[in-house]
Amino acid sequence: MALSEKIFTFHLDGLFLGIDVNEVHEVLPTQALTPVPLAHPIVAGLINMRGQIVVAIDLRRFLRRPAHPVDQRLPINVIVRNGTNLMSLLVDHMGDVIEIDSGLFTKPPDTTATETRSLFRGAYQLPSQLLLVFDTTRAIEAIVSQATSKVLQSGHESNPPSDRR
Amino acid sequence: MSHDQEILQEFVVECREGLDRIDSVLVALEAAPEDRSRLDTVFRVLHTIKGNAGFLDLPKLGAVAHAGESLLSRLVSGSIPVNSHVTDLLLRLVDAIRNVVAEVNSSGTEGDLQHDELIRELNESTSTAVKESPAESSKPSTSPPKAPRTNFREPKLDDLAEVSDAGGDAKTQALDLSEIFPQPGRVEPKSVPPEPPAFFEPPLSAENTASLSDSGSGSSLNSGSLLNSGASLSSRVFSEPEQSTVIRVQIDHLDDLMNLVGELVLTRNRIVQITASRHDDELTEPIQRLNRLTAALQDGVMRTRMQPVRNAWKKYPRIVRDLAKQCGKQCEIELQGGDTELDKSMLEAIADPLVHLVRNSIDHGIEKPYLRRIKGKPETGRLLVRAFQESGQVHIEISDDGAGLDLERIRKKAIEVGIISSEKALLATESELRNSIFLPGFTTAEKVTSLSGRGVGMDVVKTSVEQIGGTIELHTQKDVGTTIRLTVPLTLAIVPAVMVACGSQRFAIPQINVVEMLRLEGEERHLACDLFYDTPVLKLRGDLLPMADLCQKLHIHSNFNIATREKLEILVLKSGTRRFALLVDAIGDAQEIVVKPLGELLASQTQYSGAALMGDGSIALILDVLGIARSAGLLEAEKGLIHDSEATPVADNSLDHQVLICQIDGERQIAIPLADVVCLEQIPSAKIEKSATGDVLQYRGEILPLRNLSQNQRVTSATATDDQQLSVVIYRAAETQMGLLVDRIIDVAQRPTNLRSADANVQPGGPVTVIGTAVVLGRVTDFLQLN
Repeated sequence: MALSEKIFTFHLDGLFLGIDVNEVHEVLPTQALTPVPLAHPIVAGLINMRGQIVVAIDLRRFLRRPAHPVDQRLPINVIVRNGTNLMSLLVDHMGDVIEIDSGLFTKPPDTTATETRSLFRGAYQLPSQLLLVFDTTRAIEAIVSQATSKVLQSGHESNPPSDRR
Repeated sequence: MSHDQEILQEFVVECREGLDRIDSVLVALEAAPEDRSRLDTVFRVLHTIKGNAGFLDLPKLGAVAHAGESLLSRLVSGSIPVNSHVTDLLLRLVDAIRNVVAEVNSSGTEGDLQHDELIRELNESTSTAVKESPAESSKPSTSPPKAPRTNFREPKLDDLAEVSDAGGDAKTQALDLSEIFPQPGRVEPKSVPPEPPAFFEPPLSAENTASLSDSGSGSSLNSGSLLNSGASLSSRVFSEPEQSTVIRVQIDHLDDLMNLVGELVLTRNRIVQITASRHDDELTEPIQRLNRLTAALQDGVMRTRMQPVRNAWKKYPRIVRDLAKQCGKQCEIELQGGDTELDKSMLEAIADPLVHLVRNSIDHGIEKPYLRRIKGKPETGRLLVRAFQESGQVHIEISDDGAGLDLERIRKKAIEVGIISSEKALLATESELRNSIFLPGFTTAEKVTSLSGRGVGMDVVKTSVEQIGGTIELHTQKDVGTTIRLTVPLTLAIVPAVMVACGSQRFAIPQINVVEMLRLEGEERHLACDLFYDTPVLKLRGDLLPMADLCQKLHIHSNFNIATREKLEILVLKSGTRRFALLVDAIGDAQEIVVKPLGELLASQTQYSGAALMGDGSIALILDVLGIARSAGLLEAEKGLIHDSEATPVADNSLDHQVLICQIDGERQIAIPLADVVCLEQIPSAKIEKSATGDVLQYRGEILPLRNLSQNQRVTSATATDDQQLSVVIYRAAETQMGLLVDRIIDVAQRPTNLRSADANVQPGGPVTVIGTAVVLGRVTDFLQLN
């Protein structure tokens, strides 16, 4: 019997993406977002998850895809664990949880940019489309480092008060 | 467990927590070297460790921490950049301290670990520009091992020899320490990890043991001592036992509960609001019940986190005793209201600042016994630490009956280190001067000692207190004493805040930071708001406060515009000693909010201290007033000042620079180096006796030769009436003590730098030499050197 794994799938700007189902904490429908001024652009805002405040990440922006079209349904929240904290990834819409034969798995091609390669551990070849599977740990690391590092710069831009009048 | 051991244990736990904090901060710092607040954190932890090491008589630890602190102060001042080499050094420093702490934990002594190399490197980096050089030492592992055995290092012969050495040395040190600690070096059974012998068994295979006995021919190494040293080694290698983490888990648990209860309170408030508008009689009764129960629950949960402040005071008597001894002072401490309870996190937050204040009181407040006598106070100073609850807040007072703040000296010093300009200093009111000791970089100490003087003191105290929503007040009266009062809220979880609107967003500003709220309309606004060249300012009762537009600072789009707006809503906020004005779109109502942390992702967003859930389920960010002021550039001036003060050269030695001013011959004023003075006595003239060498005095069982400097020799025992009191300065000359008869003791003063050297022919030889003259306290004064 071939090994298989369960992948939580979702759609984002035409991409078909997946996360190991065990890494998904829960999925929430569209939530009101409270923007965080001056935060890094990939920080979409804060959501109230049953009394817990969770930072929502604009996954489109993080993956350098065009912004969420205004006429589409609002993004939903895929909640993942980041250490002891939770983090929400905003995605266009949810797919199914699918169980796939591990034999269909392939690693990213050598020509993949290093940056991309560190985010995805590989892909499943499905009849209709490739399902790209996140390397959750590394992807979250990348998100955290981007959200915190560049923030400092944007904070700096706003520092000199004189040139902004 | 004896009292001393308890203190040591506490020290160990404290150090570990501090070191853990540094570890992560340092790594973050390397990634973002420009974040100065991180440096401050590291500095604070090291400063505390160094101070405590001083009290607990751990000189090596103190030395290492001191070297690290020196390097850090250069980093803080910006004279050395933060690079990977520096970070590396600091991490090694942390590991070194951790090793010593582990040793202290297991044996009660510092052990035999050598840190000279590290100290040398730290000092080198401090003095020279740092070259990017690879650290030669193997990087010590920072992560604690999961399973003890996997991390086991096969001990080589040298290692074992070292271990036995260490064991030996630890023992001799323990003997030294026996004077201080009643139970020297005795390892509490509890503090030894239960398994150490098991760790050590595998390497002690037959051949190892054999070669060991070969090499260790001279030393009689019994298995017991080996096991003991093995225990200390293993606890060093497998350091960080679970003790502290277990407590942490429990506290997290309490935090969660506290949060939930906070939410419950808010939900109740909401329900109460809704039902009030419905007038539904059926609901009234259960609502009241809910009300009562929630209040009881909140009270109960809060109580589980409450701790008597006594817990933070335990070590004070010892600190006071040791410090007083070190400074040559006498002081007793009285603790009142130790049962007053405070939230655990609050207590932890103010523990260090309180210790700092206690130290300050002894170091700067209480005078030396002879000075106290001059002032007519009992020789033993009194320190009173008092806590009490009043109107939902806890007040902690630290009062001493010491010298009080010398406002003139503060004025001078403040100008000297550049905190305020000399023009401003002359106009400064008493309270402004008093408060200037809270400014960063301020120190009146002439010398950086292990006790104080780096100028990181009071501003850090103030910041820590304000961070937890507390305030600090200072009352002082010259020669009567100083009282410092901390006022802190009972708990951190629920904070009163003012809601403000900015664009379409709402923000919460903790009420503790809000000084006043203004609404300016029509003519008023033109009168109150102005431009200082290009900087918007608010004219408030004669003061010019810098003003920032919140929307603009946060880049929030708002239809309002400062120029066209009809009505301005302005908050006057304070951060530390600074006040500034913040322009918002609208000021809303005051609310109690539950503070929630923003987490790692937004940790670098210093404008916000957290977020809060509103009654309607929406989220409001809580503004961090200090962060806002910083990001708005309102505190730039202050930053610059810190830098300046660091660059100011520090005078070398405080005692060498102080002189005792006395009067002789009725009008002549002389100055004696204070460093030579042992004490001052008032004696009845009848006690002066004659001997072949001249006048002598029986003093504490010895014959004390007396010298009289008066040209007019008649003012001696011969002429003085029997009941006349004479002032005698007892000073140390070479090996012996001498007494110097003076008419009157005037004061202690700073030795001026512009000393005019005296003519060589003035008083040649003799017991004293005049080395120069200068004007002190408005009179020409001869400066004497006692031979």
